[in-house]
Amino acid sequence: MLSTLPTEILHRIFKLFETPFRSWEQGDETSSEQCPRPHDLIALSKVCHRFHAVARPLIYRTLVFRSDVDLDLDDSFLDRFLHVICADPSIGLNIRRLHAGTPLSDFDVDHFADKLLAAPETTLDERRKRWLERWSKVGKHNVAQVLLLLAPQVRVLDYFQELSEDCVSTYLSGRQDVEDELFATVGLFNNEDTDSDAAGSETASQDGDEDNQSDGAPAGQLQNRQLGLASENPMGLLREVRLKYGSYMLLRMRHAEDILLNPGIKILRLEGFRWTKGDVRVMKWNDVVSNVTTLQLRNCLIDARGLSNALCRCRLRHLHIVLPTHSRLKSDREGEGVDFDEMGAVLRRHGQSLESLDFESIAFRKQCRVNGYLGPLNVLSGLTSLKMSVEELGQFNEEDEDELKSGLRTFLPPALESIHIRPSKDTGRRVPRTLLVDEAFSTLQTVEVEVDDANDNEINLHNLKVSGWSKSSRSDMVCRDNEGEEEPDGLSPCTVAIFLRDVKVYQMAMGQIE
Amino acid sequence: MAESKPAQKIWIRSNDDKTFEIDRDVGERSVLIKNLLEDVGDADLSEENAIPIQNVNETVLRKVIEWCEHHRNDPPASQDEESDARKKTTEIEEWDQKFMQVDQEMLFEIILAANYLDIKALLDVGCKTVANMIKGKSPEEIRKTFNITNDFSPEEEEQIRRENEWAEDR
Repeated sequence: MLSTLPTEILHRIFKLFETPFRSWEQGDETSSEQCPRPHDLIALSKVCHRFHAVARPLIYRTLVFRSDVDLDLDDSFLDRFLHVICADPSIGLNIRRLHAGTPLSDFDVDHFADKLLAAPETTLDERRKRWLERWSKVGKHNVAQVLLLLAPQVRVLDYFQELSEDCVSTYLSGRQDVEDELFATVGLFNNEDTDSDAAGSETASQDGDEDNQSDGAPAGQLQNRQLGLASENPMGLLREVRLKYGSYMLLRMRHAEDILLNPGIKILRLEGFRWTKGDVRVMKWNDVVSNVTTLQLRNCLIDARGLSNALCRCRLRHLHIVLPTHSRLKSDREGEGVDFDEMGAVLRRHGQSLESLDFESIAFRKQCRVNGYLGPLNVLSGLTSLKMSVEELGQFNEEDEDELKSGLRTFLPPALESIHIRPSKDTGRRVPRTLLVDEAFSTLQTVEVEVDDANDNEINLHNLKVSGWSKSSRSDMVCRDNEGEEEPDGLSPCTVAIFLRDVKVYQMAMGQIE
Repeated sequence: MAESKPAQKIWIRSNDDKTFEIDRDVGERSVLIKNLLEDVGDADLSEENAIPIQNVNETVLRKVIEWCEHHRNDPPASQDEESDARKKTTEIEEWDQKFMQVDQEMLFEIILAANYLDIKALLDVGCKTVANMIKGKSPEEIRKTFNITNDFSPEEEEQIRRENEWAEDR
């Protein structure tokens, strides 16, 4: 009988009904599944006591709140959920993955906050209550903050930051001292960054005098500049943070910087941030090392100084950068500081720990002029996976096959196992074929090429066949052309040709089999 | 090219004393058996000295062996629990679906055997089969399907209903 199966097996079965959590790569495409509800788990919890005990924690394990598809929120899902969890905050202990994507500036959350402040300390500890009080002094509450406070054991957080003065990154740092300093300087975050900022008169000097501060020097006055000193880290179990700022404009990286202080966080994915020379200068923790090993910057503006800052502070194994589409830039000039030559030099100097690098600037380059190329990456001996377009890497003489071969050997990392080539405007047509036939790239197992049908004349990828490689294809959604501004950050379909090395041929060549 | 060795045989015995002779690679689909074999020298493998499978009877063990033989060449299971959890409950390949067309008692016996023998892929197929029997059903329909008695008091039922009201479609 089902009810007599051991609890571990019941748990395994019930877990199959857990709410799905979107991957970061899936982006923002809308679907009816965006606010999935755990109907089957709830039905199971109503069957009998035993099922209730197993199913109830799973109901809350993954929570997904997206206001953009659930517009009638006041009388819906989220409102009703907040009533339940505020009445019994212990429910929040079950939350492991939280998508708090609720850009609801007009959602009246104050009465929930009041309810929580009145709750006994056994259900909401003093520290969280203090946050709630302090948050309300800095700006107004939003639902995402309240949800976050109620999820002390969350492992993966997907958070939509609506306003620059949100302070959520300070909360996510888990550091009492950082928090105290933040609230001692209330108004710190009011600056010229966004339209939504209040024009706080007493705060302007914080941001305006970038050049008066020494490059990279800490602006904070804190004593303990190391990780792991935070006692009672309220976000100690957090492993991954996804933070998306607004839907247009860019927010200074210092608004997300505190997240780097939480020693538990290994994966940081940001969207809509700016990490450039000027932003580095106003950061507070430039001398603090972070435990983040995976950094994804989508629609973020980063220059050589920002990249150097990121690579020096975090021992990154995986770096993924998508430079912003022009809808995020205040003006074309905002992107002018991005110099690929300098960024390449930074990668060669500080990117030794990288195992994968994904760099995308196609949409950015359509609007902003960039300088130079990333250049040779052959000193990155640990880099096994690379995604970019040839015109980001360098210029190659494609007329002479031998020159092209020697160029690629210099530019590509020696241990490369997989490469994904995005389309280039005027270059790179012969690169895929050369990679497939050149024996120097013996470690290469996968070559993926985005097919640009309009320019696929010179070597027709559809017909390209190379001995020792098998070919297939798939359809991807890629972020490319946003010049029409009809759909900011919009995705379009694209065919990817995939070449996989034939394992047997490879092993024979390597002498592993006779 | 080196000649491949003929499949080595091993012997396992059900809890009702039926001994099965199977290929070693079939038996090694079970992590329990694989680990045992690592500790036992080849010289000790014999029909008389069959590995006892204490929690599984002949009928169920025969069924489990059938599954392992069909899946003997499958690649090793992924260790990534998170990605596994994301797979849809309905994703069961056709052969496995037919294999699992058994009565409930046998289905649960197979799940228990897969759990005991540590055959993750078979355990997954069993769990997904049960999940598909639950999917979309009301609490009462689940009780009926699996012959479960409702042991909640009316007050408890009301409390659980209230707690889950937030997720109802309106």
